[in-house]
Amino acid sequence: MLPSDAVLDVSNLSVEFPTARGIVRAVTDVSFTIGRGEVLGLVGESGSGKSTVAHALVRVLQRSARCTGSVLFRGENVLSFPAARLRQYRWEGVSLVMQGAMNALNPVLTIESQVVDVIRTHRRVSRRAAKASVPELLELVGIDPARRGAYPHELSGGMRQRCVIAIALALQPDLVIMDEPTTALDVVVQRAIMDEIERLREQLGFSVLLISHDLDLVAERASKLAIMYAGRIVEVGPAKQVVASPRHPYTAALLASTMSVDGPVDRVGELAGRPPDLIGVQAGCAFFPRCAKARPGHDQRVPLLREVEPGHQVACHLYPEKEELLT
Amino acid sequence: MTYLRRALSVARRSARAAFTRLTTSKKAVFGAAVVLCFILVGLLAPVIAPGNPLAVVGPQNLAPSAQHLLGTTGEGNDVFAQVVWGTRNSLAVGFLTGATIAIIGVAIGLSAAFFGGWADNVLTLLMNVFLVIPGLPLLVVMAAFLPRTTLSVSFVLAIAGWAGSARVIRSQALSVVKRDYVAAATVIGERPLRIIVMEVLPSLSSLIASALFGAIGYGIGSLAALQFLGLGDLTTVSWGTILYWAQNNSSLLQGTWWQFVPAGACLALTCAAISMLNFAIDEVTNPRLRTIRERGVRLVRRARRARQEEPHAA
Amino acid sequence: MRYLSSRLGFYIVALWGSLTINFLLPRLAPGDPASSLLSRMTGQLTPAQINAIRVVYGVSTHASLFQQYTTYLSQLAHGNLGISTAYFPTPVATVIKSAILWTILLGTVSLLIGFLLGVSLGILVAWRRTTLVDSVVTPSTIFLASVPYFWLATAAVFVLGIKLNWLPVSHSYNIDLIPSFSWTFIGDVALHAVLPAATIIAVSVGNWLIVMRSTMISVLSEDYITMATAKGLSPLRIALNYGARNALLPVTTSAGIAVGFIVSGALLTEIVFSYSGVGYLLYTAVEGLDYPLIQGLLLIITLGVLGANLLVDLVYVLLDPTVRRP
Repeated sequence: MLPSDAVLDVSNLSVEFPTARGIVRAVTDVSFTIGRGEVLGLVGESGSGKSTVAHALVRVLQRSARCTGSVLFRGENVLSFPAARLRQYRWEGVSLVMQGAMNALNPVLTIESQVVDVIRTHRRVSRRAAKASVPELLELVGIDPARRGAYPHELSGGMRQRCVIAIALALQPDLVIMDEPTTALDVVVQRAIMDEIERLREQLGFSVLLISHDLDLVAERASKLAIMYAGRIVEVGPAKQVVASPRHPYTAALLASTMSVDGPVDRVGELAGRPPDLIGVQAGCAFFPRCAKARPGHDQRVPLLREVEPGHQVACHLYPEKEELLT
Repeated sequence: MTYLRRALSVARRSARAAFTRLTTSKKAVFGAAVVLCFILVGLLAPVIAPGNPLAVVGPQNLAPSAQHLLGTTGEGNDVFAQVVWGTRNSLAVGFLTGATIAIIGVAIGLSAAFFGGWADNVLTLLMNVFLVIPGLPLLVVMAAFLPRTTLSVSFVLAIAGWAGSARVIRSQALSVVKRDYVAAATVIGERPLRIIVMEVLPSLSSLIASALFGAIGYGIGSLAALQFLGLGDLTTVSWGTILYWAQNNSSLLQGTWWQFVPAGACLALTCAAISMLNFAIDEVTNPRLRTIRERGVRLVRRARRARQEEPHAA
Repeated sequence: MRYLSSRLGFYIVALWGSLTINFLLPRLAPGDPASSLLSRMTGQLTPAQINAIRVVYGVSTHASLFQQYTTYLSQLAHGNLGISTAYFPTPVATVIKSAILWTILLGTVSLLIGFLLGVSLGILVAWRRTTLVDSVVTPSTIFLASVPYFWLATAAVFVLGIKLNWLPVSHSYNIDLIPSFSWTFIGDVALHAVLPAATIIAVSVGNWLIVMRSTMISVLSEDYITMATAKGLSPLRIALNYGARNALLPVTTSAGIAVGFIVSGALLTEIVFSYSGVGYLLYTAVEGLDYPLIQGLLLIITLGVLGANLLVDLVYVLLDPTVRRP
């Protein structure tokens, strides 16, 4: 993909937090691009760093966090935006639907005022004009416009989720980050929400960064899939390809641990152990202790992402660089 | 009573953890140091200021001098001796009141939270009524009608002040009682007293400590207020009574500041120290409240220095 | 609505509670203060007045406790708080009436200023958590907030009033002036109110600041603040509409209790400054062992505090939509 088609171009993003026990490296050397109208799925277990990546992209991490690398939005590095430019970029360029979005609404303001305040912050429109656009926005996500004067506590969880999505689309951003958009919703509502997002994406043409621990969900909706483990991307490629032929043992384990309704009745695969402590620099491959295909020497050097098929990259010592084969 | 022993060990463990955190907190160290200082002064009163503090030792209203470090009162008593000996009464009654309030508060708060239902409703109503009736007028009315002895004043203070601790403990105990392990213990069939002591109490230990300190601070301050109004035992020497005699003597108008400044300063310092300790305990339970320096900004600076390139802001 | 009516019901219960305490105390207290009061006053009262006091305290009447209770309650309902012994034969109600306006003046002004100042500073300190601000402002306000009111008052009186002679230190107005609505008089009243008000504000600001700061800090870690930041809203809007609006809720609920404490502190301050409000009246009543006046003051002050609590509850309903529209 040409850089000019990319909405977001992330290179070597790393995020660190100082804690009492030491410096936690939540995200290390993460790189990916998101094209226009593309859906990139980011999958990993809790603690893998995926939410941290999401927050870093709009710079809403806690004050003690330190980011390095570059996040290029239309060629400009978001990480070095001054305050005013940053406020402009937020929501207009990239909007964020947080994990547990149902709690992301201000309890003392009506839904309407929470849409209006973001519109009036970014556009010079009168309060009346801003209010006028609210009914249409709510209808877009399937909420009765008559409920725009309601307070968050008067709406159900699913409706609140939809409201947050509506607010996220209010300024028609180029990219919408969705962090676990369906966790805490029942299966029926889950499907409805995901279908709605798909429909909106086709209608309005925005890109989506879809973050989840649910591999099935993401594999179904995303065009490109990235797997995260211990703060790094360990595999990335076209969604269908990654699911059909996973290269990294972790991806394979993730896929094996899910069951499909119409698949063979099989033993559910097990992934023993726990993700590593993210304090301190990792010596070798972080997955080494849990890897079924681990061989001595894999814990000596950190594996880097290398291409195994066009567009499909893996960070694993099982797929060494050509140069390494010679050593 | 093996369960008591076990409960104590759990409490001891959490106390040790809190202790290590507290010793690093500047507020806690300051507070504890000041309080210990005063306790020491009170205990060593006969050594520091030998003799009877109510004895007439010199002419009235003398300014501070080498002979009388803080001057003399309107009756000719040595102010320094009075302040030193007054520490005993002020601290002792304050601690006694504080302990009484804490015990009543814990008992009632825990019962209300644990037994729930109409018992909770009745106790909560009682708590709220005592909380909303203004403290000082209630104290004054009660103290005016009861004999002016230290014990009855302490009793009055406890009656007026138990509700605050009880309410705080009840609300925290409610959240603990709802937790699964307490429900599990009830289902197994453990006796209520055992559940309260073994499961609920240990998790409340820091809150109880905080309530205790708050109650002691209230005790010392309110005792002084009552004594200042002339409702305490005027035959004893206490910081509050010193201030009462000073006010009676119109020491302000006479300009004899040494008759009220030292006692008041001791009072203010002690109350402030206890309040600091209380605040430090709150910070242990809610680390976000700590002032930034104590949260380890040093760590961030050290990390920044260790890195080679200038990082971008978060 | 339901919330307010349940609160009102509670306040009625609380008022009844303090009435009952008032009723029972002279009858339960050891040493029978009522009889000693009567024996002191025998030479100065007409038999009718003695009888009236007897009825109020139930001394040597043959009425049962319950009958005395109902008589007491009906007397109160008619606004009869008894007859003051120190200001004999003025009824208690009249004595209190003259003093209460001063206290309301001093109390309302100090409460409002203290609240506004403390809450604003609390928001500021929580929002701009710089090392300097947090490690200087917070400990110093904790210190100030734990200093007993009356000691700060005496210190203020001494330093600013006597030594420096900047401000008047006693009474609510210059006794040479005749009370009127002239500017001179109002100015004089204001001048006399400065030190007492400043004392109350100084101590109460600390309390408001601490409470507001801790609720703000809790609120600022909520998800809706993160979303507000991600929306690109201005820091001012986030701090006020998203932060303070939510942080004020727990502050308001604790404001009711705080009012009680501030009133107690105001009373003590009045005493130090000989400010002619109900606090000073209470002090003189205690000195003169004017039991009827002491009891009457408890009732009136309680009524005032309960009224203020009701107002606070009203404000809470306005602020919290979950209570307004459950």
